[in-house]
Amino acid sequence: MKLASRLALACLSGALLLAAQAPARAQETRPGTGTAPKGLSEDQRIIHFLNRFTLGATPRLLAEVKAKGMKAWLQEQVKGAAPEPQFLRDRLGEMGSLELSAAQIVDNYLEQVGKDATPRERREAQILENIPQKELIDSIVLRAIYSPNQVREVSADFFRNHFAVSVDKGPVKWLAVEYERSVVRQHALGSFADMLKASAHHPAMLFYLDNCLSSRPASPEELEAIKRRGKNVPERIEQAQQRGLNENYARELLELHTLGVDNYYSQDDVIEVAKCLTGWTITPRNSAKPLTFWFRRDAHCGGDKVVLGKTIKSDAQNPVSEGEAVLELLIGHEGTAKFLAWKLCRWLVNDEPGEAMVKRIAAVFQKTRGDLAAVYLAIFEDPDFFTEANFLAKYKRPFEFVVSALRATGAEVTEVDAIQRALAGMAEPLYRCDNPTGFYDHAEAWQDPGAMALRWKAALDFAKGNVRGVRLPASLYADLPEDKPMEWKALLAARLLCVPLSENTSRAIDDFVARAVQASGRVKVKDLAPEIVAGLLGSPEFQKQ
Amino acid sequence: MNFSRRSFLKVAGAGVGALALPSFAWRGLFAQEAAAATRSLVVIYLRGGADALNIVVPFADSRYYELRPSIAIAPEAGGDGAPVIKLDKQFGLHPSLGALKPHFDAARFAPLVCTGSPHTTRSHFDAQDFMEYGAPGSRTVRDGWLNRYLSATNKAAGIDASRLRAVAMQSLLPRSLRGEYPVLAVPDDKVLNDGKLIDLFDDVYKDGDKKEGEKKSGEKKDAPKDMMGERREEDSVTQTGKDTVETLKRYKEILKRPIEGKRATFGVDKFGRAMRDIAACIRANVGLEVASVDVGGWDDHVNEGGAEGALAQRLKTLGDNLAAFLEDLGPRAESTLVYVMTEFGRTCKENGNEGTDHGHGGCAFLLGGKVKGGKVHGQWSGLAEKDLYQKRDLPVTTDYRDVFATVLAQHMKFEVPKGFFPDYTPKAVAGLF
Repeated sequence: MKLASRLALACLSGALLLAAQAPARAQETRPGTGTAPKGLSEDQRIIHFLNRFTLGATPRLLAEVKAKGMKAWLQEQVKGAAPEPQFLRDRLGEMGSLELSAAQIVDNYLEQVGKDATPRERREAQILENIPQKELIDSIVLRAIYSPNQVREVSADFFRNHFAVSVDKGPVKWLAVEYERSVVRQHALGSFADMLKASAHHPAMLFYLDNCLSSRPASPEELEAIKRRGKNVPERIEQAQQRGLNENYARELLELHTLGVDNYYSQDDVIEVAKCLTGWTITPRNSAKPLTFWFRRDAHCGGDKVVLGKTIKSDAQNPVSEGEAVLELLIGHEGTAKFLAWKLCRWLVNDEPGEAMVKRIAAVFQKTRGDLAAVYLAIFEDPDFFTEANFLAKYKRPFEFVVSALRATGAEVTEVDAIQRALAGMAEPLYRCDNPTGFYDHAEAWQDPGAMALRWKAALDFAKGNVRGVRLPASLYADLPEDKPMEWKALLAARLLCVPLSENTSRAIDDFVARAVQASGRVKVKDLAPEIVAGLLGSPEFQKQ
Repeated sequence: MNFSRRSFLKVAGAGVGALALPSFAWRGLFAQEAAAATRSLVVIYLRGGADALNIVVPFADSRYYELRPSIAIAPEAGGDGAPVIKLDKQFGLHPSLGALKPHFDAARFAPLVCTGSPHTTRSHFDAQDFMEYGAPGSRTVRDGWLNRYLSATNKAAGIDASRLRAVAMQSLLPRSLRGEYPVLAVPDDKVLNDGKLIDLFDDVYKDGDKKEGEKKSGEKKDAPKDMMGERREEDSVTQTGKDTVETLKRYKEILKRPIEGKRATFGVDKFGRAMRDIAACIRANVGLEVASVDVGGWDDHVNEGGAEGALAQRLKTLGDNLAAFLEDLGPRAESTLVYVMTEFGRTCKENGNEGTDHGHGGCAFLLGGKVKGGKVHGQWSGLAEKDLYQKRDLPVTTDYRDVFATVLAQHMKFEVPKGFFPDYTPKAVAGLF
């Protein structure tokens, strides 16, 4: 072999070797920069891990994970079995609706007010009626802040948005408590396959996306039969003719819940899926098992259907199986694995996750039919998880911002209404998303000029005790030396933030404190320290995770 | 195609070098007074796919009544519910839009039928994104068509501290306004009225350079470092914070100015308040060019209603507030164009639940400015099945990009440069202005 070609070969194999090592080394060097290998420090790795797998890192949690090791901690977390603290159990235990079925909720909380009811009676009925949805929101926020099972809370947060329903649509407010419990939380650390099926069968989803109303259109023979019977003909004909297919759920099932928009499917598939799902509806309130899944055989479209190129045979014996077959088809579809893997990586890793990582996670997803514990572990162990590019690369959504602020400050939350109002102000009220996409999960959607002022306002209000039901503990301000205000910032930052303060924020707060001291001579901890806390919570570094 | 705003700006002739300057610097470079009577464009987006056929009703077509046995609007009084408000021999307005009829008669109001996207999607979210980016089918364009206009004209427009070029009357920007040019998403009153808030965060988000002059020590500071001790080229969070402080200060100051003359009566609902505040900004003469409001809830799959009902109520709020807006502006309505749009129309045939499903061709309203109102614009081909899009929806005969371009050119006097709409050269919509 000639020297030149031998050299070329050596170079080539060297390049191949480099390429093979690239994923592992990506965290150490940035290609092409020529800088010395530099990755995340061990502390940074843990902070990054907590930023993504909890709803807010705290110095205490940092120490806990450091002692236990990230993997061991995560392996425990995906079992979701850590005992909730007693005060949280007590609070949740006081909420009477959380463990009830939808039917029980309607029975217990819906009072028919007569025409001659007094305004007071009406008001009381209204308050009673709103209790279940209030307890739903209360329980979500309290668990997000205080539950030790943080991975379950992160996962529930994701799937609450993935399978979004809104309490603003009719009876969903009665149904959402059970939906959150039996669809979202039940399967948050279980299997996507089970969660998809549970959502498809749940009255909240059946109502929210109108599938409960979708039925086959009246056939000419039926119309003839109505005429022949000759009773109330015009009304019956009208009723029969108004019946028909509703595409809403079928479309969102494909677009939002499984394959991703316009991936793999066409308008014809939407119609065929809708046909398969005709008859999937909700039992009436006065039935034996009220407000549960009901397959109405007489509403079902007969005939074979073709979904994504696969024929779903008409099953006259057991027509509900056609819809089940559609769900199975979607659960096993590579498109579902890819879409969910991409969405989860976007949620947990980076707004623009790398293709290679998404592909690897999709493979785990497909192989396990969406075993979420396995998927989360795979994301953690992926070579592209702990990279510098991902560190603090995500902008917190309003919910993440609020919960992490309350976690960092160790806030005592006795009422949640004001927190939900603050979230509404920031355009992310829980269970009230305007559309079935769920709330957006990437920075671009939240990072508008003006929108940030809403966070600042929340930070200032929290810190100053202006939010009803939220109190920052006195311990946060304990030991601040009254006579050395210039030292408060550093002490508070160490208590609130897991990352060092940027030079810019540090200087800004110093300036601000210095001005306050200059203006009033002597400043008090109770006046100025909350404003420093607000500055820290509203700072650029606290908006990132 | 990888279309970025920068490549567009190159085409548009603005120096790329200008972009490299910190924003405050090039704002200073072109400081001048805002033109006395700015042309304003107010964009109202009906989210959810408003049902065009029950808004601009083809009452003369018997097919309309066949397709919609329970939700059609009657052609004449004495039928089922209030009849259409006739605009010509073919079309009538939904009866809830009565407040707009005088503006149609005065040639200030131009409905446009069968407008929409050439893209086939029936997904709300894609359809809205594609439309607001002015880039049907593209998943790479990340800035809105209105922001592209603002960015491209920023230099020529001239900037002074009292000027407010664009606002969105909601806590998050619509995509049409997302992009390089910082547009204010107006937060709620509690935020606006908190005097201390902006001062505190003005400090936190002040950039290092600007503070340099204020520092007594005079020590040389490098560019701000992030918490990893590294210099980052740009930190979008910090930049957004700065923009927030700057635009909010301006907006607060503007709303405080007294308004000469009478105010019209707006609704007390969110939309009414938004239109009232936009009118105030326009009347304050601060160079407001673009304002936007979202109105949600137009996805009428179930119980849409006909002359009365869910859609009717929404249309009443819309029409009444639009009329109040034009009245409030008075002569300024001549230089203000209101453009009401939606992502798509709905199925021509009603569905099984007295509602309609996602369709294709939709409608738009143009009011004010120099629009040629008093006429229903757009090409209409009837409701025969063979003439419908995929045998079920209204076709699109006027691409929305053509309307966008025509509005920018004729009303805003901005000749849309090549590349403004990726891979598309818009055609002027004949007779609209």
